[in-house]
This record gives sequence, C-alpha cells and structure tokens, in this order.
Amino acid sequence: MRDIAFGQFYPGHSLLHKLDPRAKIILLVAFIVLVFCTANYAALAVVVASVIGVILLSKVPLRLYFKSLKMIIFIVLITSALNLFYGTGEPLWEFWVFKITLAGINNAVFVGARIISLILISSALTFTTSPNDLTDALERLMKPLNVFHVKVHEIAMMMTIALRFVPLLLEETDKIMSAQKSRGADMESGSLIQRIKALIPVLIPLFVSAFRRAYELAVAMECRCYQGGEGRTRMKSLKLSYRDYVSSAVVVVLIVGVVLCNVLLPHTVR
Amino acid sequence: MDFITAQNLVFRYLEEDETQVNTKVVRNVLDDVSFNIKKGEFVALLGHNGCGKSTISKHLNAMLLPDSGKVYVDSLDTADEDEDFTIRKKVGLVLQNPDNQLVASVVEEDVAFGPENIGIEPKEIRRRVDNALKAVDMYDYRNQPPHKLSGGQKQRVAIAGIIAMEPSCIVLDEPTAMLDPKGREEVMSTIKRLNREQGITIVLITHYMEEAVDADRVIVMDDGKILTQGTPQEVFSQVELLKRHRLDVPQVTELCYNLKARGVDIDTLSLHSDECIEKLLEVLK
Amino acid sequence: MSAIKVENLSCVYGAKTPFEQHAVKKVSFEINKGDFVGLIGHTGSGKSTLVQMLNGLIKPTTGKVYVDSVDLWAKPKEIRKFRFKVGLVFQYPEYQLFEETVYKDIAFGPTNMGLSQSEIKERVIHAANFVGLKDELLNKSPFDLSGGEKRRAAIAGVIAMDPQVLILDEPTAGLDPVGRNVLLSQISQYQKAKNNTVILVSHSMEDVARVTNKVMVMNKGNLAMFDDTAAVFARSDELSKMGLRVPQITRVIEALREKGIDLPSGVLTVDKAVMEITELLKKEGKL
Repeated sequence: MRDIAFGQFYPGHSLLHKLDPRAKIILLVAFIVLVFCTANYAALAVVVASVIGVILLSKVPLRLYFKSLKMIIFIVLITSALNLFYGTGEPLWEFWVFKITLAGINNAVFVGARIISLILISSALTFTTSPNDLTDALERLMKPLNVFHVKVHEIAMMMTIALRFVPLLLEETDKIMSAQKSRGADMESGSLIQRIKALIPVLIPLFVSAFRRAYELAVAMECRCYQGGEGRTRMKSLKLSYRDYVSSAVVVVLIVGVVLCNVLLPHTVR
Repeated sequence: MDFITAQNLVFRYLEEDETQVNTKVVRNVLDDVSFNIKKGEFVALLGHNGCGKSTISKHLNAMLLPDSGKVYVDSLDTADEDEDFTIRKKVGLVLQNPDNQLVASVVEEDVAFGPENIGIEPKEIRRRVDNALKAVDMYDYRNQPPHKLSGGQKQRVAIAGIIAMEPSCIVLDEPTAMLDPKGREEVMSTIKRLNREQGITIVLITHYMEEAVDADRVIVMDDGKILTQGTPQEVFSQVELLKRHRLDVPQVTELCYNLKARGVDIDTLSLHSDECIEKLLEVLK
Repeated sequence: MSAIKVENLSCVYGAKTPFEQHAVKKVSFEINKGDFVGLIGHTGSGKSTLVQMLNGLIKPTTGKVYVDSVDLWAKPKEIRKFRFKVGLVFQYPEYQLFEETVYKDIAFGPTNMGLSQSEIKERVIHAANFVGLKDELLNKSPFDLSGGEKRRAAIAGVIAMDPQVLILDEPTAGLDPVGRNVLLSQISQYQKAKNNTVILVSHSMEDVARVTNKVMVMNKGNLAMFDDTAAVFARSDELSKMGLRVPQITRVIEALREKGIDLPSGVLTVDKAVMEITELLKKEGKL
C-alpha cells in the first residue's frame, strides 16, 4: 500500500530538480501538446528521444520509472490492442472478425508510445519536484484566476494539507485493517459484495479519525494566526534563472523539430 | 510582573443528562478559577483528564472566552476581538497530537507557516525559521517530511513552529502524552531549555507528575477548581490531599512520605531520586 | 505447559533492496500458560513486529510460531483461526470502534468466529464486565463514550473472543493516572480469573513492574532478556544502555545497594521498598 510510486518525490540535485517548478509545469503542458501532435515516425522519434533525455537528466533510478509504468501498463496494452484491430485499409492478416492492417499497427504503436511518453514525462515532473513546490507553483500560476473569483489560495492550501495527510491516512488505514483483522475480520475472501461489506469496519474508523484530525488541525492553524490568504507572505520566493530559459529554449527547438517533421514528411496517422 | 492574569474564570458546557433523555444540564468545566503567571516563569498545570486543564489552555490565547470572569494577556483583554491575533502572537499553543498540528509536508515550510500568516518579510521568516529549528535541535531535519520523523521530533517541530512567531509565552497542552519515553525526554529538555535560555514563559499542562517537579510553580486542578498551588516541594508534600483526589506523586516522594509516617527521621519529602538517595543514606548509615 | 512457543523467528522488511531492515532477528522463547509477561524495548526495537507475528498478521521471514503446539503457518488459509486464539489489542484501540452500539462493536469478534447469538451475548456481557463497562453503556454509540470508556470497550472487543493469549500494546498510553491504574488492575484481574497468558507491551516500567511476573526485553530486533520481573529490573545498568529506564523506586534501591546498604535487589514497588527499609532499620535498632 505504501509503495505507490506514481507521484512520489525523489530528492536530488539534478538539473531537473533545480528548474523552477512553474517552468516545469508549463513545459510539461507544452510537451503533452507536442506528444499528441506527432503524426509520423520521425516526429515520434524526436519525442521519444527527448523523453529518454529527460529521464537521464533527472538522475532518478530507472527502477522508479518502471514502477510508475507498471501501474498503467494494462491500460496501455488494452488501448493499443483495441487500436490494432481498428485500422482501415488492406488487411495484412485476417481471422474471423479480426483483421489487422498496417494502419492498425501504426495506430497501436502511436497510442502506446504516446501514453508511455506522457506517463514517463509526468513522472519525471513529480519525481523531481516536491509536492510542496508543485502546489506552490500551481498556486502562483493560477493566481490570475483570482479575477474570476476562483479561490486559488484556498485550493492550494487544501492541496498542501491533503499532501501532508495522505501518508498519515495510508498508515492509519494499514493500522485499522490490522486491528480489525485481529478481531477476525475477513478481507481477503468472499464475493465482491462481501468484500465491500468487509471494508465498513475500516472506512468508518478512518472517517471518524480524519474528521477528528481535521478539527484539531483547524484549531492548530487558528492558534498559529491563520486567517486565509490575505496579508500572507511566503518564506520562499520563486525566481526564474538561466536554467529555466535554456530549458524553455530547448523545448521550443523540440516543438519546431516536431512541426518540421510533421510538415515535411508524410503523415502515418491522422 | 504578571504576564497572564485570570480572574474568576467560569466556563460552562451544556451536556446531556445521564438520567433523563433530551434534557441538558449545565456543567461548570471551570468554576471560579483565578491565577496569574509571571513573565519568564515555568508553571505546570496538573490534573486528570476532564478536570478543565485543557479548557484553560484555550482561554490563554483567546481560542475560548470565559462565560464570566476575565483573562488578561500582557494587559490585553482576551474578550477584545480586535486583539485576537496580537494575543495569539504573544501566546503560542502546542497541542497533544503532533501529527494533527503540522500543516506542510516539509519541516521548514511548516515552521514558516505561522510567520507567513502574520505577513513577515521573506528574509526575516528565513531567519526566524532557522533560529527556531536550531532552538529545538531540529535544524538538520529541515528538509525532511514530517511523517518520516519520530513522535518526539514531530513535537519539537511543532514547538519550533510556535517559536518562529517569537511569542513571549508558550502553552503546551499535554505535549508528551502520545510520546515514548525518549520523545518525552527530548520534548521536556527542549521546553526547559527554552525557558532557561530564552526566557520564554512556559505553561505546561500535564498529568505526569515527573514533568511537574522541575517547574517553578505547580497549579493542581480538580473538577474545574484549583485544588492547590505552590512550588513543587510545597505541592507534592501534600501527599494525602493528592492521593485523596486520586493524583499521583513521584515514587520517591511517596517513599519518603510513607517512611516518615512510620516514624523514620525524614524532615522534607524529596522530589528527585538523587536527593532521596542522599537522605536515605544518612538515615541508613 | 507452553501457551506460545517461538523458534528462530526473524522478520525482514524490504528484503534485497537498499532499505532492507531486520526488524526481528532469530528470536526463540517459550511462554507458559498463565504467565503475565511484560514486553519492553524502545521504539523500533522490534516489539510491534514480534507481537504481530504471534497472531499471524505478519508472516515471519524465517522461523516458526507454535500456539498450543500447533504451527501457525502450517495451513496458511486457516490463519484467521489463530487470531481468535491470540487476541491482539493495538495501541489506541479506540480508533477501531465502528459499530452503531457498544454491544455490536464488542460482538464483532465473536460474530466473526461464527458463534450463536446466545453465546455472543454471553461473551459480550462477560467481556464488558471484565473491563468495568456498565450495562447501560452497551446500547450507546461507541462514539458517545468518554476516552477511557472507549479504550475499555475496544479491549472488551478482543477479550470477547476469549483468546488463550491476550496481547495488549500500550493499553494505558495517553490515560491519566486514575485511568491507568483502573485499567491495569482490570487487566490483572482478568488474567487471574482466567489464568490465561497475557503479554503487556509497554513503555511504562512502573506499569510492567506492577503487574507482570516475567519480562521480555527486545533490543535492536534481538531478545535481550527474558526472566522474572525482579531479575530483569535488577539489571538496571544493562537496561539503561538499551535506552530503557527501570522504575524510579528500583533505581533508588539499587543506588543504595551500591553504597553498601543491605537491601534486596529487584524492589519494584513503593510498598515493597517501604517494607524493606523499615525492616532493615528495625533490625539495626534504629526504629
């Protein structure tokens, strides 16, 4: 339960760790768009090569990337498999209602490669950025939304608190499960409905505890003079450095590369 | 000079009647409680669960207001709503469960939470955070997530979060109740050091007698009233009174008391083992 | 007769990773029926892992656990049976309460055992009695109880399974002196009435000294000592090296002994100390 790899911060001092989190989020968004713009193998190669580059730059053990892939590989395989049979054109191979075409193979490869690239690149972001920096950056990036009366500070505070309490509640779930198992609760066998029923002795104490924690935390925050976002300062200020400009430039080059590949070479997929 | 003055505090709860359904009875959680706390003093507030000691702690920083009576903090009336935050800056409150008072997922960011709330300049926050973490001996852990720390360490981070607001007084509501002996020792020595070296006024609410013996003054509560107060020596010498109210005394004090009652020549009741050993050696040699 | 026997028990977390951690290392012991055993050791010494292996919550990496001479893991599918034989009360057990009424909550364990309604009722009332919960509380919601009552209701939930071995992890944590004393004497009475084996995991040496007749000391995953309570606390130097403190009263008497005063070792309670000192004074004609 505790080794959920996706979205876990891996402390380090690589170039990626040092980038401004705001820059990283914007670059991630740009990259996601880029991934979906790939229309032929040359463009895909550019994307895959840059994903590999990012992974190497992050200096995070490959094992962790594999772990985050492992959670999602089923979805990748299923979507790829579905795409395999949905190609149009001359069938290369046929059996009963199934037929595989060249376009189908292409589709499958592109869908698979795109999803995998997306997961790896977002993992690179979460591995190299502490959850705090991430919420902090989101709060600052979303600040303009204040104009539309979006409670940006409150949302960010909620995320901060959620991040703080997720490990705690996971640990607590573990503990409550052990306690109920010690009273003979059976959580491993039975039908689906029986198993859902078996969760009640875990969920109720968990909710009670979460509410109690929430109440106590609210008291503690008030004792520490919390009064919302107004008049609040921050200890750490984010500053863009040359690294952020250089990486942005690199991403721009990538975009140009993909666009050129798309324009100059024939499209393999729609 | 008195830093905190509490005059005739009364605080009531409505609670359900045990014998009759749907009728509420008034319970006086605090019943005419008066005391004062001097600047730089280390006061221990003793009593068992439900005696009203936690309710007092929340009165000292304007989280609760008395139904009648007054609390003055540094001459400010806690009932004055405009002064709430001024008072909370002066009197920091540390709660029992360290897990439920840390807000951020990085130690130093949590310590910065208080100063950030009151709009301190970033550079000054940095200075305060570093100082506060050094004061509780947690500076080396500043980049760690709280859930990787031991209970005692977490509680020290919580104390640092209060120190960073530079209060004159820290109220600690059973800060060691959930800790193991090592964590308790860490927290207690931190509290004593802050009192001694930085002159911070300490109000320690506890039910561990051992923690109260080093205080300047002990106030014992029972059933919403002050039972007795004075120096630890004065308070713990009243073994009979404390036992009658089902409160503990340190084992050595009880030993001296029982020996004295059996006619052994012991004049003052010791609070610490070293003192007790010395005295018994005199008697036994 | 042995109630629980452990042979070469080890538990390794995260084997073959950089985080490999030997929580319990080749521990062997045998606890007799009717023993009241204190289990001490500071946080991270392997106590919790050890007790969770005793009721099959954690599968040992190597070694065997025998309950009533039956190997716990002989039939892994039937491991649940042993949870009823070795009752484990976790730290802060009040956080596991979940039913609408105290009665139903205490009945959770017996119901899982598949007992008949009448038998369940008998056990619930019996268990509530042992921990001193009044009958009228049984129909209340467990969330309406006071802190101390919640704790006792949760303990009753394990006692109601009528386990042959009852393990309590820090049952008095966070309670005030009154609550602590009352709960300890109830556990002690339960142990005497049933003549069952009870294992008390605790940081409070005073508590352990008061109620147990044997003490196990865990240190860095090893079983450092296992002996009669007085004999263990007489080794106060070794204990303090492991970061454990013997009761204040024991320390004082040991210090007096070192100074050449003729007092017995392993004095665990104030009453005993008073008795020994007055006797000595009488013998020397000073009293």
